Amino acid sequence: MKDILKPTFVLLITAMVASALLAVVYEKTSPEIEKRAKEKLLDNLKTVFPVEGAEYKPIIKDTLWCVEKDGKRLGIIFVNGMRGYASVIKVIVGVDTTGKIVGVHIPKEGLSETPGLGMKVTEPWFMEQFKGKREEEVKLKKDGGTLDAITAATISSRAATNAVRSGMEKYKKYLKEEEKSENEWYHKHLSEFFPDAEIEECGNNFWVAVKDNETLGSIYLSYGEGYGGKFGVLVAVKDGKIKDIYIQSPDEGFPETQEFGCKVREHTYLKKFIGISPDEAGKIDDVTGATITSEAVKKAVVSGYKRVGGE
Amino acid sequence: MFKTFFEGIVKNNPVLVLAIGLCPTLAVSTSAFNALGMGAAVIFVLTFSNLIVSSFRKVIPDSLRIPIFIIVISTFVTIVDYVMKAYLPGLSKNLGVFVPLIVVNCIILGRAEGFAYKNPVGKAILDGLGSGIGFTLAIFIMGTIREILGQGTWMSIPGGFEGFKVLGQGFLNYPVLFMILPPGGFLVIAFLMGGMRYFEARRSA
Repeated sequence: MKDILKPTFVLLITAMVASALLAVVYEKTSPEIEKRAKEKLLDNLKTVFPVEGAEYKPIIKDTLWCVEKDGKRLGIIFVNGMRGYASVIKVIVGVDTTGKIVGVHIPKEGLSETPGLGMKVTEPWFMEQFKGKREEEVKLKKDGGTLDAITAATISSRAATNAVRSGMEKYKKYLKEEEKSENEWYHKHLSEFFPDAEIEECGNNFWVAVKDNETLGSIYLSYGEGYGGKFGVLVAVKDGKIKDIYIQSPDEGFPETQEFGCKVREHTYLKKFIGISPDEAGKIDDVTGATITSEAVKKAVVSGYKRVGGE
Repeated sequence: MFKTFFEGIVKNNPVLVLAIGLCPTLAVSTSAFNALGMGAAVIFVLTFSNLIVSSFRKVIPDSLRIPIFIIVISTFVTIVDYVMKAYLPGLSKNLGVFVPLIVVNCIILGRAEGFAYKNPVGKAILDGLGSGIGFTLAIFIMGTIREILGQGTWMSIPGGFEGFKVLGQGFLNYPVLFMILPPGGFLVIAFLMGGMRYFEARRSA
């Protein structure tokens, strides 16, 4: 008996003391570690888009920011990665509203390209040459573009260049002000809710469906803040109950993850909304694995209804 | 008493004589500053784990000694890792996975098992310091040689000091890259080990 109890006890004490010690150290160092990470990020954002007094607002977490000053959009900053020779080359790129690159930064941290060859993508001369270039110009000279490759490190140079170009392609729609870029997507859905009716705009993101001088119902647009960013929800209301609901599709800029967040767009979930009063949307169950997104949808439905003042 | 201390540095130098702990030695010795950082981490972990193991050697049951050594070592390694991340982020990024890997560094487990578990606290601390400094010296010399030849600088600090330009501008433009790559590490350690054996043989002759 003693042979079992004593070692157990000793091991228990050892583990407890060790974890207590680590908890204390973690408590002390973790705020500092987080602060470092934030400072570093802001530093990087400032390097690629240096504007005095500008604000860097995140659009997609850790991936996309817009740069604003006095409420005016000056451009965007994105992070994009591309497989290099030995690691993923991460680029941070600032683009102004005319589609020209303001600055490119390739952080050394976490990069394990060959020292002295691929690692040279982090040298200032390489990053400088992107400045002022447009999307179609961002190619190596040997690929018909305007940029010099690093001698003996073509794979790394090409990966960095492609990361910049594909990011510009992917995020260029965010260069325009939000109102303009979002204007298109919901218009074509408005008529789907009330097929035969005329849709009349009644102020900010609120429409009324009219047929033969009779009001059939109303539609409002509301925004939710999900896991990956902002998305729009269209709600059609008839006789105080939800008639139908539509959530922006990924093609239309729905920012949530395909495997989880996108489940809120499935009919099995959306049909739970139909037939209830928008006030009561908060009671609906969340989609497993997409709690944040589900909550965002419900909040959008409720808050939008409040905004338009009920029916 | 101090024989214990110096034994770890020269006669039983963990890297150059005992040839243990070679993995971090080869991987991290690409620059002198990295090597110093790694050395400091190892000295800290080695000294404290020796201290703890030796203080509690009478209550640690024989059958449980290895798990307990590992708990003790990994606790100190994690502390080093956190502190480095918080206050020396540049160095921490450079050393990367090799800091957490100190847990399985056989120098440390070897000293805990082979020395601290059988010797009084004072001796164990001296042994930890000695072996740690021996490791640091070896890796620092390697780092120095590899950085000077392979990069043209000495003691450059990532995101800080540019380093002493020991061999002049021409060397900065066309360094012997090979020295920073893995084969350079093997080459340097081979020469150092050879040199060590040569002097050892001459001294005893």
